[in-house]
Amino acid sequence: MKLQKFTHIVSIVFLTSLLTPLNYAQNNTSGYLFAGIRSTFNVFSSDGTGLGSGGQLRLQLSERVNTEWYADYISINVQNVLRSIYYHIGWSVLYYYLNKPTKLQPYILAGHCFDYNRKTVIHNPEITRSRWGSAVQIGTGSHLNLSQYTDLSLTIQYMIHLTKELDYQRQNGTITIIEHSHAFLEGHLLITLSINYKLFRIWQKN
Amino acid sequence: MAKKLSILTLLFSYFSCLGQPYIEPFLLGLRSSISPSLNIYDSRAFAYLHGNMEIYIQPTNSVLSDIYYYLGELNSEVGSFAFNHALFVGGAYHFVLNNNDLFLALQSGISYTKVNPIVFGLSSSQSGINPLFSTTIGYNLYFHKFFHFFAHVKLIFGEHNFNIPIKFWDIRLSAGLGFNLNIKSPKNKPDKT
Repeated sequence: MKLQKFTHIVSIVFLTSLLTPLNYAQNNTSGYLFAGIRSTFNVFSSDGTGLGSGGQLRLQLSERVNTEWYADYISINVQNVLRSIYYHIGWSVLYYYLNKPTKLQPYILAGHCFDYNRKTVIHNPEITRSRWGSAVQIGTGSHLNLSQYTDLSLTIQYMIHLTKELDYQRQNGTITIIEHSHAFLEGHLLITLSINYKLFRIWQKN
Repeated sequence: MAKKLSILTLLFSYFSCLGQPYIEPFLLGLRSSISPSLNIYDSRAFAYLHGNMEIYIQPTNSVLSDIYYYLGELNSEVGSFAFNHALFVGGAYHFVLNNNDLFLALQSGISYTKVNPIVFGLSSSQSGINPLFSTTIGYNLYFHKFFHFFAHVKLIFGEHNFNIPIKFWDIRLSAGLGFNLNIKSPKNKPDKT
């Protein structure tokens, strides 16, 4: 019972500390450029689960609005049959809904990206097909401001592909890669963990 | 055993309290070692030539990068890979006490791999790039203006998907003597006197 009470107190103190306004918070934060490295976990898609690596630049437009410009390379093993590679190049707008920046700085985001998908039969790389496409994404996340210069960010977003998807068909032991006849509102859930560093300020509000 | 541990603890405390604090912003750390690894998914063991570079933004934060050059497989005469090199970039959060530095790092990475076709009965094999994710726990002991001891354990996740799917769930160990240098110009440092 005592341990439970102690755990509750520690949790409340911890959460309060995360949501306390930062002592190094700037009066205006617009104009800062950040650079970051990101890992993306692809889940709940028809392809299966996969992992991606990439990078991003973040340019803050105002105290409440930030923009993220990213590139990802994602590889998915589709049931040990296909290798599905995605290249994403896109941007998102982040909106901070808390009044002041805190150690934990939550946001909602929405954006757009161009994507390229290549599917290849793992055991027979000569069977391969690719497509170009476009996608939109919407999600939520939070920065954990580790210091004035660094943050760790976790973002969960759903990306909807606005294009005809590639799939595979097995007939008489032969695998063929086909393109669906029409586009679905289907995509993938992307969980992105990134570490970002403040580079410099491009402009300063007077 | 207890006696040895107490001597080690005393030595560590002695070294860590020596002289000035070395962990400051713009401290550059360079490390190199032979790194053994174990794939916990299929028990394959490998060896790599490991290089590591770290720049401290603040004493608690740093940018950390690693490069691994594949040397071969340890528990097999013919290795499963023709090559399996990797590159990681990310950040670390440090818990610093005097010159003792315990850290946790998260890194994103890529590996450049190609399986050995003979081992898998293939006529040829493709090379390709695979995304990787890693977490590292490590300890650095800065005992000199230019040198420190280090011991790092890295856990890697990823998958090779060219010709034959092979999961990378690797634990890689690195330890040795590292080189450190504060790259910030002395004239910009605050005067301590």
